[in-house]
Amino acid sequence: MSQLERPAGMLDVLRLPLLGKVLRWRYGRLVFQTPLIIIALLLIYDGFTGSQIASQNLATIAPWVHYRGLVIVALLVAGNLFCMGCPFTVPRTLAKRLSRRGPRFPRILRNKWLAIAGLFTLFFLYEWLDLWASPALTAWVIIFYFVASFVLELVFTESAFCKYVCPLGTFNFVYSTVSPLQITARNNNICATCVGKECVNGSYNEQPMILIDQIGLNGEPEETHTNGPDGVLGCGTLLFVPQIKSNMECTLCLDCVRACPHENVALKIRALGSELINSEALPKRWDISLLLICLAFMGLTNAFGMVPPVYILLQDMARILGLTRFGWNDATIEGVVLFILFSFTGLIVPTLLTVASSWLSNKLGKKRSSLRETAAAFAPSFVPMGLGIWIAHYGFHFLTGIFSIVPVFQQFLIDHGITILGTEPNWSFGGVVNTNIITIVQLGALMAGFIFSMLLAQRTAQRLYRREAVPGLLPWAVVILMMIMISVWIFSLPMEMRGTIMFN
Amino acid sequence: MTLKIMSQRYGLGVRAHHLTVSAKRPIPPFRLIILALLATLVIITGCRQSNAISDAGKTVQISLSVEPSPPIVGETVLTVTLLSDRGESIEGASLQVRGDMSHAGMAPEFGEVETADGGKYRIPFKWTMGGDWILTITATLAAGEIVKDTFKFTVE
Repeated sequence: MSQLERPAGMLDVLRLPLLGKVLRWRYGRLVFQTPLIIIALLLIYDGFTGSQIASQNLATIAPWVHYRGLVIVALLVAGNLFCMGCPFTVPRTLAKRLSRRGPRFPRILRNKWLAIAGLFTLFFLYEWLDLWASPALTAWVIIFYFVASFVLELVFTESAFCKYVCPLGTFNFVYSTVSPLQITARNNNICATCVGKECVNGSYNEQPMILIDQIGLNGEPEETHTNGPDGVLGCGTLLFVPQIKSNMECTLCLDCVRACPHENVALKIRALGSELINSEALPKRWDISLLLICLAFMGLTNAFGMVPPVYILLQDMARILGLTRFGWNDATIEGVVLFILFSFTGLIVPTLLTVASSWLSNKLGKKRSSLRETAAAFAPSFVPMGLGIWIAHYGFHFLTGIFSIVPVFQQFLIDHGITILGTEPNWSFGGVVNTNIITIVQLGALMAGFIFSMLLAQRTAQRLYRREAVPGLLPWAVVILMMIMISVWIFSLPMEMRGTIMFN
Repeated sequence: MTLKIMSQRYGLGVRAHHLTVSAKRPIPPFRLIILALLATLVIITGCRQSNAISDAGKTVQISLSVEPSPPIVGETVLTVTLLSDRGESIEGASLQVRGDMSHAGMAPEFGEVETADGGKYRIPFKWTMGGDWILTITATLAAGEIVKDTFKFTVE
């Protein structure tokens, strides 16, 4: 067993008078999931039956304007609340009971490569199919999430969808590393002597992950766990509480809290971003490092997809590549050039920059360290910069449309003969109209992210290269500086919500 | 009601005793919530009201021109022409013009008829942002019939 992590933080949210009791309650997660599953079903319904104009339909307003903005707010003020209340995992209990003892997720896929591919696919499809403009397609995306989550939960023992696949969850995982809440053990000694490891195994779970309880006294297999209705599932993403150093992969489901027979799990408050300073918090793996870095670059790509120069660039790419000669329609050409652009800016460029910066950094810092270790050391520096970019982008949509859901919901109710919110929707509800406020928020987020990223990179360089810290820092500082300059340029351009691009 | 004391032996020789009380169990809240949600969904699905607005094209043709064309951000003038299926101009209609951006969350713009003559309705309008717009023209005819049509524009 590896070394147990020292418990962090002071205040335990689970000990708060009312909130703590609700969170610890057997159906505590359902309290948060129930409103979200109602909303998810409502979105599916309105997406298929309501107006197909995006700004008049709940299916497009709620996910693409409010969900994305509120996720960021939740991550900054608390933690991964949207994974905690995730409606897609509600059928998990049913799937678990149907699946019995399923196989583990294939070993070759137990990493973040699928998650990176999932994020890339979501951002690409979002842009290509104009998901933001289509209530019906958004409804299909929600259905896909329900089905994918249920099927993977049904087939595999662990929560493979959450841990290895879900793009939304992966986004939350990455940026919850900044969040002020973290699961931790109250007393590590209790965990060291705990034989049931219920936080991972679950209590009365017939699919224990750590099979210590089946060894028996004489080394003979012995049935000790009985599956019962009073049992609670263990951690779906296989985190062992006293070893948790990072919020990465923690869905904040609190199953570990409910399963622990010793009441030894705490949800403690820590300093914002403190995890990123801990060099041992994240595994030193290429998939994790590239996830952190690529997601920051995908933020740039995603924002670039909404400003005028992208349309000129896409048209130029199509012309230079000769795609207009094949007789394809505009949508196909757009798909091809978007795929090339997104692959290049969201995957290829960040990967090459990571490898090149790691190599150069080691050279200039005069240290013989593996590229993997160097990349892993500097990768957390990209989390604040990436978060700043996402805040600037999602914050724009959230602030400009923060109240736009009011008339849409009024219209929805009126369509169903319910007039408690009025007989006519009030379409004057919109959002922040003063663009200066939005600009200040965007620039503030970008600058805060940039400064925090530079401080992290500088700290890492000092730790790795000591006296050669400045030259060792240089390649990473250039990359982060380049990112902030491109970000400021993109967000200083007028946003355009354009879905159609003419190539022919 | 039966009372069962179950003794469990864990791997390292530690014994733990669990008291399990089994009785005729109530329906778990989880299932109740799912049932309630399904019932609600079925009910609201049948309740959505279809309004009396018909799409243009059958009895009334709605055509639209914008100035300047192609449209650019800023003030514009929309000219809506209403024609019956026999090609006659329709006068005296009440028009509503609503402009939505294709991205959710942007406040809609509305336009009001400034002048109307010979079935042509002139409406000042403002393209507030560049991007894809959807204009919805809803016409209430003198006879009370309501027709609507949508038009897509890309504003530079």
